[in-house]
Amino acid sequence: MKHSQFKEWIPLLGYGELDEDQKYLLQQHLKACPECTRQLEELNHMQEMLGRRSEIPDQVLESARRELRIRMLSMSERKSASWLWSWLPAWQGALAGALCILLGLGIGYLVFRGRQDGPPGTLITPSVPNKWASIEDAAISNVRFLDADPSDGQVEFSYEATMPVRLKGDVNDERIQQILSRALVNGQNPGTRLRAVGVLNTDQMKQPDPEVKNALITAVKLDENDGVRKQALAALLNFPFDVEVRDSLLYVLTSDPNPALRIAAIDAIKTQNSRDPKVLRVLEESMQTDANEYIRVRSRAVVEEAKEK
Amino acid sequence: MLSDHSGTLEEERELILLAQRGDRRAFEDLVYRYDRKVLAIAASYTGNNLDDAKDVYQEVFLRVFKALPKFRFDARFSTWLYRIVVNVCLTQQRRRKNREADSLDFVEDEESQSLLEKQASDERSSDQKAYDGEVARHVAMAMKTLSPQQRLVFTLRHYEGYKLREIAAMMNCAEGTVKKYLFTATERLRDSLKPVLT
Repeated sequence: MKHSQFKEWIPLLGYGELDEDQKYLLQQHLKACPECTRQLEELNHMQEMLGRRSEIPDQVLESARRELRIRMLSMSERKSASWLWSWLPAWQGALAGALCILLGLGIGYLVFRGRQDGPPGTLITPSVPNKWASIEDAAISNVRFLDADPSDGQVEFSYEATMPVRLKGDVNDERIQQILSRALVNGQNPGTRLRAVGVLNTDQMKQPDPEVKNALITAVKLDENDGVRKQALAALLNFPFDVEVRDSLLYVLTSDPNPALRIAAIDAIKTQNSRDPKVLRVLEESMQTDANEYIRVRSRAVVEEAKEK
Repeated sequence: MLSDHSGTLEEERELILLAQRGDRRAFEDLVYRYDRKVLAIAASYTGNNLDDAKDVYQEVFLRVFKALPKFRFDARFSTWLYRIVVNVCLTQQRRRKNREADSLDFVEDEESQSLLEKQASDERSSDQKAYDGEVARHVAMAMKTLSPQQRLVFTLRHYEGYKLREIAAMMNCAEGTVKKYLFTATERLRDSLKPVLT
């Protein structure tokens, strides 16, 4: 065999990619070839130097998940909008445009009427008259260039524009619930998320928007702050015990790092007197594997109680 | 603590079918089974530039989101997903070049640097830290000398521990081709790192 062939095998040896015969042949060659021996030593040294990969920090993964959720949401919204336009035959475009203007006037009337008599969901900050005004008033941050070469007369970048808006209204107002839900999922400040979830946990809320439940489930599973997760769990228990609530509780029991939350999850499961096999399976696992002795004992008690019934 | 969801293939199939019918929660559960791994591959591939890694992550899962309705179970979902990861990594290099002028060098990026430095323990001496920093800089520069394919093969084999035949399946090419990429990558890295290897 040629020397060059053995040289190609050297990295494969280091990565365990040679079969037994190839390994034997290469080892025989190495005994007689100082150049290949040196190459192998250098590669071994290099592999040590390159190290192993670093673990991805939880907060990085969490922020990637949040960003993905937001982008998917906006993609779905765009998709719905484009579907609507493509559905309309061309001759109806003008009619649709007129309807949109009427709709806009209607919404504008409802919003600005609120400034005088203060119905639920009153927008106190004046609404923005046009998009350029919004840019002038907004705080611009996170500018990221996608194309910063102006030679063709075009540039492309993304940015975040924020401006303060004051809103006052009934906790049952759909818009207020949606904004609070988004604050809970996307808020950067844990204090804000805690306040948002505190409001969402009120018994004044008669008919929560579906977005509220989704936001609470997201917070229960993903929020990095123990207090927010705890409050979100408490708020979630105001909803009927369906599959989503059940799965969220089981998720907390199997995955939450905080024993207090896992205990809260067991307590909530216990009150449901559930004999659901999935619930029992997770509890059985928890009574064997949970790091906390109290949780293991508590899980066992709930399982035994369920089996006795 | 964010956990990676594991589960059986039947559960996964069910999630895919639900997600194909527009169930967003099922889609998220599907994403959470793989996303830590995807982000880890992206981070290794981009030399621990977490901004670029997150770009790859977003692009991968948005492509999955768009293409999932057409997924017909001809291959395992994981194989299909990792093919997308490979394609995004390879094209990401091109997109990054386009905006390179405005971005910091991938070793000099603050977040990357902090991740690289995190690897070094705080208890180490300042001399050791300086040496580690120097090595990290050389490694990052050396990785930049590789072609996207070579870097991807090297990343998947060295940092992620995939077998060459698995990488060949992900890249949709022959195992021999992958071996060539790995060989060339290790040779180039060895050349580039010679000053710190001796």
